[in-house]
Amino acid sequence: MAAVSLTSEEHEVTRIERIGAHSHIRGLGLTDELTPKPSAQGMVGQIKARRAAGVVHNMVKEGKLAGQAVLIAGQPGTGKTAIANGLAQSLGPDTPFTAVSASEIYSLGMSKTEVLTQAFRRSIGVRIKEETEIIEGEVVEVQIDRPATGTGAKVGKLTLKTTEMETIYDLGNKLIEALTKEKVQAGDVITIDKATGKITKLGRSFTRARDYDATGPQTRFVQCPEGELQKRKEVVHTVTLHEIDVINNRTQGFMALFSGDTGEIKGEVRQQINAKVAEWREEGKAELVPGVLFIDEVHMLDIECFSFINRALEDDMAPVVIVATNRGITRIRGTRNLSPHGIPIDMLDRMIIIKTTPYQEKEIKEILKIRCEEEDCEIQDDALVVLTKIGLETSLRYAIQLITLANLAAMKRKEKQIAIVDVKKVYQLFIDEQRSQKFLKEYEDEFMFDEGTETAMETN
Amino acid sequence: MAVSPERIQQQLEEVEAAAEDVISDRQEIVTLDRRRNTNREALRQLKTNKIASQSTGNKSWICVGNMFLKLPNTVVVDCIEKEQKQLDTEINNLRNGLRSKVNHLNDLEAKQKTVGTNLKPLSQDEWKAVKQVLGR
Repeated sequence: MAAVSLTSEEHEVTRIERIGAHSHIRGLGLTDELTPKPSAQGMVGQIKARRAAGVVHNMVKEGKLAGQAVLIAGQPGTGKTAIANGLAQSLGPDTPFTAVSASEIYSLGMSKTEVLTQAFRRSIGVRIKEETEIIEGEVVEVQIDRPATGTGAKVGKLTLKTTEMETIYDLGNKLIEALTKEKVQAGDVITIDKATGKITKLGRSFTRARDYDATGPQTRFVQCPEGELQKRKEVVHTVTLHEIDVINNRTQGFMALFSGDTGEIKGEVRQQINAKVAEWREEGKAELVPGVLFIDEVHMLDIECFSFINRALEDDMAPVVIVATNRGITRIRGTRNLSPHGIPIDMLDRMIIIKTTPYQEKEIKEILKIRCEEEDCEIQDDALVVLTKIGLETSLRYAIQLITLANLAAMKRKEKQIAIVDVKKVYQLFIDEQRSQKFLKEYEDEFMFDEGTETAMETN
Repeated sequence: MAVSPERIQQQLEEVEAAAEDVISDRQEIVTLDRRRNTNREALRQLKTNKIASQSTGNKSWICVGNMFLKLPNTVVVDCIEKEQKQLDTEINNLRNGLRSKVNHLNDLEAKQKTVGTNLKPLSQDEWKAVKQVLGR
């Protein structure tokens, strides 16, 4: 006599998760002593950079790196964004991690400093704790008596039990109403908040699962609670400073929709919030959780932004700023000076620099294998070797992109595995950067509006 | 790194002792809570059945240890309420101590410390304000 759950209009909606370029990364892949394993959690090779990232990870966890800047620099396709992603995953959901691309700063809606300040404040969390006394137990019996005369208050008794004890509660009017509203029956496991009188149903007890032949689709079965009836519940929340800013800044209620919020948050609001958080920190009611702000393509920031970041890093509430770039000696945006990575030297001086190096053949093979698994494609060994050679000669990204294309070619042949012929075919169809340049040089006269030979844009 | 068997035994003993401590504290809280509940039920009976107890002349029987005593209701109510207060403070103390003991146990077992346990909780008003701010 199994409990049959009736099908209803409710159906499961599968969440379609987009497979992105870095979705196979689950962490940094380090052992406890911070040595990188050759291939773990989606990360392959790049031993030195991963080790450095591991050190950064530990310092962030201990809160020691707040206000420091880290630079990850290397040629294109050497895993800079991947390391940042791995670091984000390994820090866990508790640490605020904000990833922005430097070009996002140039929005017409908000000034550059505002965007940067928001990004900074989104990376700092405040941890606060909420403590409530609750009564949690399984309902044995609910007895509500209505007076026969029709007037007068209802009286009721509620018998609650846990695995260790059982007791009877006399109910007041408010609680009786709450119980009838929630339709609490014998066998339900409920929680009563002592301070607010709110009743939450956690589910039905397992021991009562066989009471009925059919249950609704929403029924959850939970275990009978253990221990004492009146428990103290502590919940720790982590909120970012930006969330507090936004809601404090919004004018009351509906007017916010009509007041044409520019999105800029007033300085006084921020100061008030800083003061309140500082006060709570003094009283021991809150802790600051400095998180990580990751700015990709940092060479796109201009000199004003760099000065702003310099100042912001010295604030006592500052996150760890990790930046990444693949430029070499370039012009700093907003000036005519050349500088390494397009970052002013005084800022470079404040940074800890992690270098990434191009991958070796074995590592490229490993990465391609991981990507094949991630994109759900099966590839034959010799095809993988050919793809690795292609990756070595052209670039890693090109080889990764060929995977899905080759898979489609294989499906067209009604085969499940990618073979060498598929790889060859897509190699002919889709050209990489170097062949594209060669082709362009040969036929430049035949393209529209071509202005003759110009030096190609430096990307390394 | 070779660890001698004596060292391992010592570590195990420490862990077991700390765990025993935590478990016994929890059991104690359960027992005290049980007592608290029975007291509460008794109080409730005394208060609502005041009319019924007129017949017995404002006195009730209470059981102390293995003795039965008949005392005036007011004395009984006072007594139980005092005991309730005592139980409340006892349970609170135990719970506060429990937190540091569990942290110690986590340390010994090399598990991660539960985060945010050394924070003082926000007061009711502050929490209401925060909830409003966060819109939760």
